Amino acid sequence: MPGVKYSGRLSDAELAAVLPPAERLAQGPVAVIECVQSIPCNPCEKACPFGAITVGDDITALPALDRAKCKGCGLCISRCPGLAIFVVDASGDEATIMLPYEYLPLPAAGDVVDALDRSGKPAGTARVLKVNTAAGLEGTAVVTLAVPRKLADIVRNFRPRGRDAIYICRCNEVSEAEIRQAVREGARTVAAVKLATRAGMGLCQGRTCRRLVSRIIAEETGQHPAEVLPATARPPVRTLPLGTLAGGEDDE
Amino acid sequence: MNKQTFDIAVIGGGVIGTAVAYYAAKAGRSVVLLEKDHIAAGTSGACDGFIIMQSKNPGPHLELAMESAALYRDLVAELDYDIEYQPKGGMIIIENDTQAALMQSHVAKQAASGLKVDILPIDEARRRELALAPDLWGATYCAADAQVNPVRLAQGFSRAARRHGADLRPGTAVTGLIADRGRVCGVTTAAGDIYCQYVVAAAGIWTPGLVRPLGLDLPIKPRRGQILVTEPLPPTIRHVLLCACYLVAKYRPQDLDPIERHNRLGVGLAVEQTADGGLLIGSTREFAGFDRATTLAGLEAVAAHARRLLPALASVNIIRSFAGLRPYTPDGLPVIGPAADIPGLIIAAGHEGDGIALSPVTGRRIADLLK
Repeated sequence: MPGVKYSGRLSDAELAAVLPPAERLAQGPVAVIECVQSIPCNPCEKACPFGAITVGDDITALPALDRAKCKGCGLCISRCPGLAIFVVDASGDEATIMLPYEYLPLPAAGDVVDALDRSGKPAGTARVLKVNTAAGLEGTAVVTLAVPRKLADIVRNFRPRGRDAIYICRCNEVSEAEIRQAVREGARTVAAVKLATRAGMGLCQGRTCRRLVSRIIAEETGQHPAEVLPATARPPVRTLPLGTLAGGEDDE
Repeated sequence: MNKQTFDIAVIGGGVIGTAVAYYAAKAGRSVVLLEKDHIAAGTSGACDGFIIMQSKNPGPHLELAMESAALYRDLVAELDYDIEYQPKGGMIIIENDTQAALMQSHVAKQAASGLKVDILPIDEARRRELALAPDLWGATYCAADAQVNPVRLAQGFSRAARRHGADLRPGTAVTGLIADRGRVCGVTTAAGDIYCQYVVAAAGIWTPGLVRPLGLDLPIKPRRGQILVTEPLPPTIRHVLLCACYLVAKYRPQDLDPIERHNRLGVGLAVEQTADGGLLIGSTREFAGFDRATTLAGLEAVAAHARRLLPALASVNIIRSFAGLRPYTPDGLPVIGPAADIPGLIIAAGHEGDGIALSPVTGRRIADLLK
């Protein structure tokens, strides 16, 4: 839309429209649906067993939450493809926040993590109370965090502590720490890091990680990322079945 | 300033060079390893991980391989590094009566050398390896065959060598050999001259270029092998698999019909499932100079051959291909030992497709030689 700057997060006015009032928060868990885009989407409506969420016949309408009906069960959280639904409970000494989490490795109950705000900036410390990975959640874990009550409206994500936990190559689960270690042991090119750590050897063939690997090598060696030699790209450009590559001609 | 005088300077950071560095450092010698790029950057980082006994010709070749196989069983503990060693046994796939005759005579000679290899009709072979095509003749089976991750092997050797005091210098290209009154006593590098009692040239296909200025003409030349990599799969291939035409191509190339595409490209099937679940499917055997590129014709021929012997693989997704340059020698045997007429110079190169299998015994024999 002309004149609108998209920041990727909700404006103060948009937030004011979706945040529950303090008195509702104090009564117990309630969903917070931070959905502000009129896109054709309504899984949240069907997810709610209490009929608390309404999108209606106009599928591009924003979901309306009846906070009196909402029990804070959290079944809508993993159903939202935009990861925009949270359940906040500020009735106790500390607040709890249930949020969707789609990164690996998953945290474990009892972990202390860095709580992040909506823009991804650190907002304080959180404790992981529960990690729900039930099959019905279809791969989206629902993590419950305990945070100081004043952060109930602020915290919407978290980051595990320790850089070991950051995966650069997702296909082969190679962490940033492993890549830095390989560079310190002499790997100076993307190909050398690949050979030393298997970063970039997986299904995506480095499409996700090669720039990040270049950047880490550059940081460690003081080069410009453009000076870091890339790995050789070899066919196939995308995966293809062996039978297709073999073609019609049998080698008899 | 780095120390620049050693007992032994090893040139080459592949499986052979790192094995020599490991065994020599372990024996108490001061060792420097010079690698122009990084560990396993060349042939050792672009090959499969076969430790296969039954492909070796009875005689010195098989004896070396069996000595190496015994060393491998110790290395798993000695290196203190996961080299993904898997003693899974190997099979050589037999397509027809002609190949069966060759394999029967091969197996009889191996039995006389103390290697037990069984010949299995196709029904029994398929009970053990489900993916084999039903219309094949059968397969041989040898329990002594195994598999390792070559890159991790070179890394394991080099890390262990360093623990024993070896000085590893990746990114250090040797630009020449220093000779004094006919005796090799060091090497030149961009980072200065290095002096030593012995130079071990373990640079695979680059070895002839290193020693030619001294008048030594080694008959080693690069032979390209192109390999396909599949997506990670659940357990699919249980053994290391070769096909008998690999052996025909290696030992009796005159028996091959030069019109067939896979013969022209020297395709002999070599399939293994790696520890992460992906299959490595090889390979061509072509003379293409120092060109490490893959070619569509080569990859197609490998894929077609694999589909014929292992039809179940037709639906498996290929995610990558690569090519490595094997150090070929005309007699199929590596060059291991002191260079005649050039004291101080030791050669450990020319292993072609046997470098992984023979690296421990090569390193061990060279270290024993220099005690």
